[in-house]
Amino acid sequence: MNRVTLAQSVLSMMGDADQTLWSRADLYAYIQDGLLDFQRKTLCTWKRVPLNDVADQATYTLPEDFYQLDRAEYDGWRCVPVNPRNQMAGNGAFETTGGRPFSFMMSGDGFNVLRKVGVPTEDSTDKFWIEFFAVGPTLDDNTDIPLPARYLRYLAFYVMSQAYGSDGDGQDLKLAQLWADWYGRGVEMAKARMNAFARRRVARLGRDRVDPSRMGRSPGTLPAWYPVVR
Amino acid sequence: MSDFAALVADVRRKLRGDDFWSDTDVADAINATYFEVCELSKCYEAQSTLILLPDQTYYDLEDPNTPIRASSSTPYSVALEILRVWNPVTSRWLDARSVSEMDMERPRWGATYGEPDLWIPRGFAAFGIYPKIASNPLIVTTTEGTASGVFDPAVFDALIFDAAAGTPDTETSASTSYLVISHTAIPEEMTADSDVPVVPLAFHQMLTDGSVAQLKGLEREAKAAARYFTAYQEQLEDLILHCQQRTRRSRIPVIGARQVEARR
Repeated sequence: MNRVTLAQSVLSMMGDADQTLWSRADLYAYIQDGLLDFQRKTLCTWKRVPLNDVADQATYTLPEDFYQLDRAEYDGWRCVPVNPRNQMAGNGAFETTGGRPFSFMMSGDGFNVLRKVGVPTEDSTDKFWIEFFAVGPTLDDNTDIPLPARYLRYLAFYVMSQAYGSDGDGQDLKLAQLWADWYGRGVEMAKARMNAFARRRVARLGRDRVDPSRMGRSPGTLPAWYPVVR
Repeated sequence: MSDFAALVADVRRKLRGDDFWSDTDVADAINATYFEVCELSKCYEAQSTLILLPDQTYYDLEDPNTPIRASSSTPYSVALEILRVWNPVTSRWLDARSVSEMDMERPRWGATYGEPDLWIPRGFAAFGIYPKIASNPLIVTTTEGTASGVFDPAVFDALIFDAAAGTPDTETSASTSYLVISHTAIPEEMTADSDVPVVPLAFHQMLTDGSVAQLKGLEREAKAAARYFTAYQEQLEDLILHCQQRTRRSRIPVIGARQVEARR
């Protein structure tokens, strides 16, 4: 489903198919905001894409929809995120030292830029991979909204909440809150789905109920020993 | 109430015979609530068969192009929570690992080939396996002919799947690798009057309360919608607890320990 179809459906649900109270442009903006908000809160869009090596190139611009890195690997080996200060102390020429990029850094080169530590010495394809949570893309009339179909309902609730909350003749703050609550339920549902998907259901001796707090971490967070790279 | 017709009738009753909403609107509201309830409570469990592709580690369980089919006559329903995974080729259950455990225990695990014995959840719906298979399981010889190449549902459903059993045809070669996944799922949409929801009978009223809340909200009756929404939420929390605790713990007291507390 694209934004045109969704906007039409929402206008119909709100009884404003002739766009007297809310314009289609307003709804497009709410749909875009809602998509970004849903993806950001639930991390429901996970991608694995190659960041192909270019000879003698150290920095690489990340995809436009990149939000949070989950993992990187080179030639099947996990790449370690490194701290700039440690690199500066250990190897002052890390920005130009050639080699295989078994480490990376995401600090100091731009917000959406990844620096491979071990500057590739030759071009390669499908060797360096990044796995990340995506937010986006910017929707147009032809782009399908990148959410599972059953979650589009909650996106519609978000749009209605924003529409009823906006100033104008159609404002109804109680309805805005009602639909915001229901949208929030959808967000919690998606978050619970991801945590459940990752949970290992191994019962422990002496305990007949699985305690999620003792299970493996949700894949939405890096392990504690990962240095924070911003 | 028990079946779909009864649910529709109950929604109509709560709407006070309001003719504003068509039967389709009411049915859509009930099914939307039904799907939400099943996803949140995980009350519906199913089994599916995943055909493994050569040199592929991750399978997106939400992607309709993923070669996964239900192990029954009903269509595949997206897997929510994986319960257990069986490899019929090795006759072993797959254990789960997080990706950080894999990185620590098995360097370069993504480049290892073999019959899967571990599964790794990634992101929202990516199902990873270790090791991945190397040989092309899609080159199969059956009584219907030979098929190979990229998975094409139209071609392989006929060749590979025995629709009745939901498993690869008995004529397929031994190189076919597949996994049987038990998982919670979202059930089929209710359409016929006689369709019965998988939700326990004690919680059917929740389906109508949730539907009425949505319809009242669309009618711009915020107070009425909030009232039904609150009732729906309370029942949903009870159902979630019920699904987690339906195997009752024995109330046999142990000397020196306090008695097991009653559950709702």
